[in-house]
Amino acid sequence: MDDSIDVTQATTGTTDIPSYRPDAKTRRYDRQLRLWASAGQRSLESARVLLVGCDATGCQALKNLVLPGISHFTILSPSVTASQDVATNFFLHPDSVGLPIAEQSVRYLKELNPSVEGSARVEDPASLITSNPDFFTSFTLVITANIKPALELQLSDLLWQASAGVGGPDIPLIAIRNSGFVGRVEIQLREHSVVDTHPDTTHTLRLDTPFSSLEQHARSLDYSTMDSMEHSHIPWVVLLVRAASLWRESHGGKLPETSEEKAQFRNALKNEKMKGDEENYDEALAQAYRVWNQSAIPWEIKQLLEDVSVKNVSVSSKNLHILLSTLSTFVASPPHLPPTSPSLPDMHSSTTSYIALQNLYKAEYQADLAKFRDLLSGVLTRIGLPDDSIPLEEVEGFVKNVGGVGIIKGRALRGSKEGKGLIEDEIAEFDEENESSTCFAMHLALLASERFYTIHGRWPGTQAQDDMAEDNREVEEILQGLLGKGKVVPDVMVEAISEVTRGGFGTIPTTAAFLGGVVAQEAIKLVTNQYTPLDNTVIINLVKSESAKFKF
Amino acid sequence: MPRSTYTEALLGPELYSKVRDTKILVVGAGGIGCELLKNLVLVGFADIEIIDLDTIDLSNLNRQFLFRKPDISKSKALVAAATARHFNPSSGIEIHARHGNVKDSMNDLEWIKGFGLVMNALDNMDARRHVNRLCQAAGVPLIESGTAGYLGQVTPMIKDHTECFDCVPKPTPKSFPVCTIRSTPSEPIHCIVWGKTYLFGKLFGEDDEDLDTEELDQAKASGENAEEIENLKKEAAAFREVRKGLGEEDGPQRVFHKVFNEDINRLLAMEDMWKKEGRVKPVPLLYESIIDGSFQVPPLRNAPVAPQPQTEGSAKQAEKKGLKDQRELSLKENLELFIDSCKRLSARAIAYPNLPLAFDKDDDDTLDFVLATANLRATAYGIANKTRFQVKEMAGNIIPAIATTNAIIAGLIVMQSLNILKTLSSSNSGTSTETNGASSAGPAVRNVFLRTDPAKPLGFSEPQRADQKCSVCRDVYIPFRVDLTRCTLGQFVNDIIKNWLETASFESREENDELEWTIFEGGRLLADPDFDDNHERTLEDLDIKRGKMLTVRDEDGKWRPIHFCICEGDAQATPPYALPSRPPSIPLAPPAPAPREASEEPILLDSMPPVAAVSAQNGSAAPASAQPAEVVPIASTTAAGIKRGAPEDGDVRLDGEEEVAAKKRKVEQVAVTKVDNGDDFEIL
Repeated sequence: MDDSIDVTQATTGTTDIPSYRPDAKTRRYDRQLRLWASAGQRSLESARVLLVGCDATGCQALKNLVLPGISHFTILSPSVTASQDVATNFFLHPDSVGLPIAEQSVRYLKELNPSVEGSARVEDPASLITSNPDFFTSFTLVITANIKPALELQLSDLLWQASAGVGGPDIPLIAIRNSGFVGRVEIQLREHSVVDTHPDTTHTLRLDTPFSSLEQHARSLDYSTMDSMEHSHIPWVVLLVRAASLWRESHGGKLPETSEEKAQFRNALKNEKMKGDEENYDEALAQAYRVWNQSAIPWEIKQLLEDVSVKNVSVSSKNLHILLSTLSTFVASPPHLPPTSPSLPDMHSSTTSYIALQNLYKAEYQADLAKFRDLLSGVLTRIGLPDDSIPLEEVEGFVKNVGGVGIIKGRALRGSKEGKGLIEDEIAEFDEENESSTCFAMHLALLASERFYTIHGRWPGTQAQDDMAEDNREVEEILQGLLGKGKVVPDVMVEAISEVTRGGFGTIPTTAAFLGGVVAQEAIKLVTNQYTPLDNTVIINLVKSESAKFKF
Repeated sequence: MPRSTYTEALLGPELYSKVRDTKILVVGAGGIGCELLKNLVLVGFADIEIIDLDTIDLSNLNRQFLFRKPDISKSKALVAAATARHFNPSSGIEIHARHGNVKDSMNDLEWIKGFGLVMNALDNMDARRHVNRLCQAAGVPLIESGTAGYLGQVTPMIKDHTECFDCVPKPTPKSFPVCTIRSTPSEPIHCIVWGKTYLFGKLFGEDDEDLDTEELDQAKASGENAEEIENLKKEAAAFREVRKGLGEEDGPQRVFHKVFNEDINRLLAMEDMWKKEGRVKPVPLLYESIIDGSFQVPPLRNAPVAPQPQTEGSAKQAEKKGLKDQRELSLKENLELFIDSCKRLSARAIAYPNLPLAFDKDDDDTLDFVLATANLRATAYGIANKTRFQVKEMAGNIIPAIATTNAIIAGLIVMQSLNILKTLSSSNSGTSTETNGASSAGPAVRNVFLRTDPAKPLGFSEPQRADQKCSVCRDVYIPFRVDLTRCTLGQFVNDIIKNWLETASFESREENDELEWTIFEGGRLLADPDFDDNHERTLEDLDIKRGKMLTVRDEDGKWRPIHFCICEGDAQATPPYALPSRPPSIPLAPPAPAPREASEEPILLDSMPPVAAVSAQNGSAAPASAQPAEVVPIASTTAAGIKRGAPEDGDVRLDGEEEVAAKKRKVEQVAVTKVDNGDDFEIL
C-alpha cells in the first residue's frame, strides 16, 4: 500500500484540500463522532479536568480523556515518583524516579494528543484547598484518585457547595478508590442534565390519539378496492390507527380496556386479513398493545416539569430548564402530549405508502416545532432573554427527543461516607443471598478502611504480615459500628475485609486499566450531557468479574 | 529495578511465575491490542509476540494510544512494540513484533503450539475464525474479545472446557438482490453498494469475468428476473471497453456517459421492469446540461410534503462548525468529483497496472469516487443524496470506537488470562489430571460483557460447553510435519491413512467396518477410493502449502473428520514426514450432520467467501440529520477487496463487534419494543 500512497500524493498533492473533505481533526475523531456527534465533541473540547492524586488509575482515566480530546487537564500532587509508581503507571519512565510525579505524568500524557493542554501543579492539595478553593472550582470536572479520605470529603463538600447556586457551575466529582482486585467509583453530582439519554424505546406514535391528518389518512383507505398486493402492504401503523378509530366510534369514544375488549379488538383486526400470511397484519397484531398504551408525557419528564428549577425559570436558568418550562406550557393545551417525533420505525410496507405515512409524521413534527418555538420565544421574552439565545439546533434536538432528556438529582458524598441516608436502608435490607451482596460488603469494607486510615494515618494491611490479622480485626470492629449495635458482621463482609486489605490499597495494572476506562466513560457522559451517568456508587470486584451499582 | 513487586505479591509466587514464563500471542495491534500490550507488560508478562498486518491511520489516534502522528502509515505491530518498550525498558521483557498476516502460511500449528495463551484483538470474522481453529487444533487457550461503541465482550475459549468461536452460529451478512443493486435501487444504501462493490471493481478493481458471470447465474438460479440478468451480462462486457480508455483525457467523461446515460436508457427500454409497484423510473443524466446548470433534477421519490428547514439549518450549522464532510454536495459538484476522482484513480491504476485498487474508507480517492458515484446514481433514481460523512460510514462499515471501552475490555482480558493461568496451574499441580472446566475453588473463568445499562455496567456468564456438533472444535487435528517437495499424495494415502491411521482407536469400531477414506484440501477433492489420479504427484505439486490442512473423512461419515495440519518438515528426513508417536482416538461423528459448513470448509484457503455487513447503530449515526435513524447494512466486497486480515477494535467491516452487540442484546432481552432497527441489527 505504501506505493499507492505515494501516487496519491503525487496526483493530489498540488491541489488544496477540497471543501467537502474533513479536516485532520475531524478525521482523528471520526470514530467517536459517530457516538456522541459534533455537539458532544464540542462539549468535550471545552472541558477542563482536574486530577487530584497521581496514580496508575488516575492516569489511565486521563489517558482515556486526552485521547478523545478534552480541552485541558491538570494533575495536582505534591509527591515525587517512587519506583513502585513506575512499576504500575505506564505514563512514567524509570528516569522519572525522584522527580515530581505530576510533572512526569503530564509530560507523557500530553504526548497522546497535541491539541490537549496539560499542566502539573506540585502542591499539597490539603493546603491548596484552604488557601485557594477557587482553583478547584475553576474546572469542569474533578477526579480524585485514591486520595486521603479526609481530603476527599473536604473536596466533595467544596464542590457540593459550589454547585448550590442557581445558574452557578455544576462541578461533578468522581472519586476513585481501589485496592488490589477491588475498585470503587463514586460520583457526586448536584444536578446533572442529560440532553440525550439515547433511550432504547421509541415514542408512542400516537396510535391512541392520532393527529387529525393521520386519522384522516387511515380512514380514507378503501380496503375493498385494493388488490391483495396493496392490502398486504398497508403499514401496520395505519392498520392500527384505523382499527382504533373505528373502535372508538362504536364504543362511545373509548378504546379497548378490559382483556375481553382487547381480544375483541385483535380478532376484528385478524378478520380484516385477506390472506393468512399478510405480514403487515402480523406486525399490527404484535403492536396492538400500543393502542391501549396511552400516549402521555413520560413519567420522568412529568417529574421534571414539576421541579422548582423548571417552574421558576429566570435569565440565569440553563437552556434545558427553559426548554422544559416551555414544554410544560406546550402540554398544557390539548392534546396534552409532547411534540410528535418525526421518526418512524421500519415496517412491512410498500415504499410509497411508507413514505406517505412518514410525511404525515414529519409534517406534524414541523407543526409542533413551530408551535413550540412560538411558546419558547414567549418564555424567553418573559424572562428577558433575546429570541435566539437557544440555538435552533438545540431546540430541534429537544423537540424531536423529548423522551430522551433527563435531569439527575444527585446526593452529597458526605452522607454516604458518614453512613447516613440511603446507605442505612441498604444496610437494613442487607441480604447475603442477594447477588449484589458481595459488592455491597466490599463497599462497607472500603468505608471502614477509610475510617481506619483517618485514625491511624495508614491503610490497613500495609504493615508487616503479622499485623494483618490485627488490622482486619480493627476494620471489622469499625464495620460493625456501621451496621449498628448488636449486629453480627456476616461472613461475606469478613471475607470482603480480607480481600480489600489483602490488596493493601495498592494498584495493579489490570484494575487500573479497567477503572480508568470506567471513570473516563462516566466523565465523558457528564461532560457531553449524553447518556445516563452512574448515580452514584459502583463497586467492581475483578476476582469474580462482577459489579454492582448503588445509590447512597 | 523490578517493575512488579506489588503485583507479584498480590498474585502470589506461583501465579506470578506462570505470568513470567507463559508465552503470549496478541493478534492485532489496534484499539484493544494497544491497551492489551500495555497491560501485559505492566502485569509482568515477559514473552509477548504481537502480529498485525495493518498500518497506522489518522483515525486510529483517538484511541490507539501507542501511536503518534509521525507514526502514520507505519506498521501498527512494530510501532506498538517500540512504544511499549520505550516506556518499559527494564526487566527483560521480550516483545516480538511482526508486521504480517496471522493467516500467512508460516503461522502453522507448530507455531501456535509455542504459545501458552492467545489473545485475539481483531476486527474481522475471518481472522477470528482462523485463529480460533488454530487454537482449537493446538489446544491452546484463546481469549476472544471485541468492542463496538460503548459495548464490549471478553470470551475465554478453552478446548474441551468451553465452547469455541464456531460453536455459536454467526449471523450471516445481509445482502441485497443483485437486480436491486444493479438495476432498481430504491435506497441510498443500494447506490453506495453499487458504487463500492460494482462500479469501482469494474473500473479499477480486479476484473474477474468468471466471478461476475457466476454471480449473475446464481442470481438467475435463485429466481431473479432472467431478462434483467442477460442485460446485465451485456453491460458487464461493455465495461471492459470503457476501462481500456480510462486513461485518456475524456475517459472519465465517457464512463459517466456510459454509466449514467446509456445504461439507464437501456434499462428504461425494458418496459416491463418499471410496471412493478413501487418502482420509479430513473432519469438519464446529461453531462453538458449538468455542467451548464440547465439539467432538470428529477424529483425525489420520497419528497417530503413540507420543505425541511431543519435539515438545512443543521447542515448549515454543521458547516459553520467546520465539519465539511457533513455538507451535501450539489449535482454539479458530484459530477466534478466523479470526473476528478476517476482521473486520480486511473492515474494510480496506470502507474501500477498489476496492483488492482481496492475500496478503502480511509483512502480519500476511493471514498470520493464512491461518494460521487452513489450520489449521481441516487439523483438519477430520485433517491436522497448522502453526505461524505454518511457515505463513509455506510460504505466503510464503520463501527464507532473509543478509548474507554477498549481500556475496560483490555483490563478484563488480562484478568481472564490470570484466571485461566491460575485454573490451569492449579489443576496441573492437583492430584487429578483431568481438568474439569472452571473449578469451583479457583477464580472464575468467565464470559464478561460490558453494557450501556448504567445500573449494571458489567455482566458475566459461565462459559458454555462446546457444541457437540461443532465442526471446528470437535474435529480431530494432527500435526503433520512434512517436506512437501518429496512427499507424494500416494505416500500420504498408503503410508499414513492406510497404515498409521488404521491403528488409531476408532470409537465403536466394529470388526467388519471397512475404512474407506476421502481426502480433501480446502474445498478440493484430492483422492477417494475410486480416484487415485493424483497419487504420483507431490503435495507441493498439488499446491498444498504449509499452514493448510489435509482433511480425511470416512466415506460413511461415521467418525469425526481428521485434519492433518501441514507444518514445516525436515528436508533431510526419511520418510519425508513426521507424525505423533501414537495416532489419536477418533470419536464418532454426531448423529445429525453438522448444521453449518462441512469440515473441509476452506477456512485456511486464501479465497474466503465474501466478508461483509455492518450496521450503524441506531441514533449514533448521522448526528445532524433529521432523517430517522437508518440501519445501513452493506453487502460484501470480494476477497480481493479485503485489505486486512487482522487488527484492532471497532474499526472496520464484517465483524465480531456487531455480533457482540447482538449477543449482548440477547443477554439483556431488550428486543421487546425494538420494532425498528432491532431486527436488522440482529441479522446482519
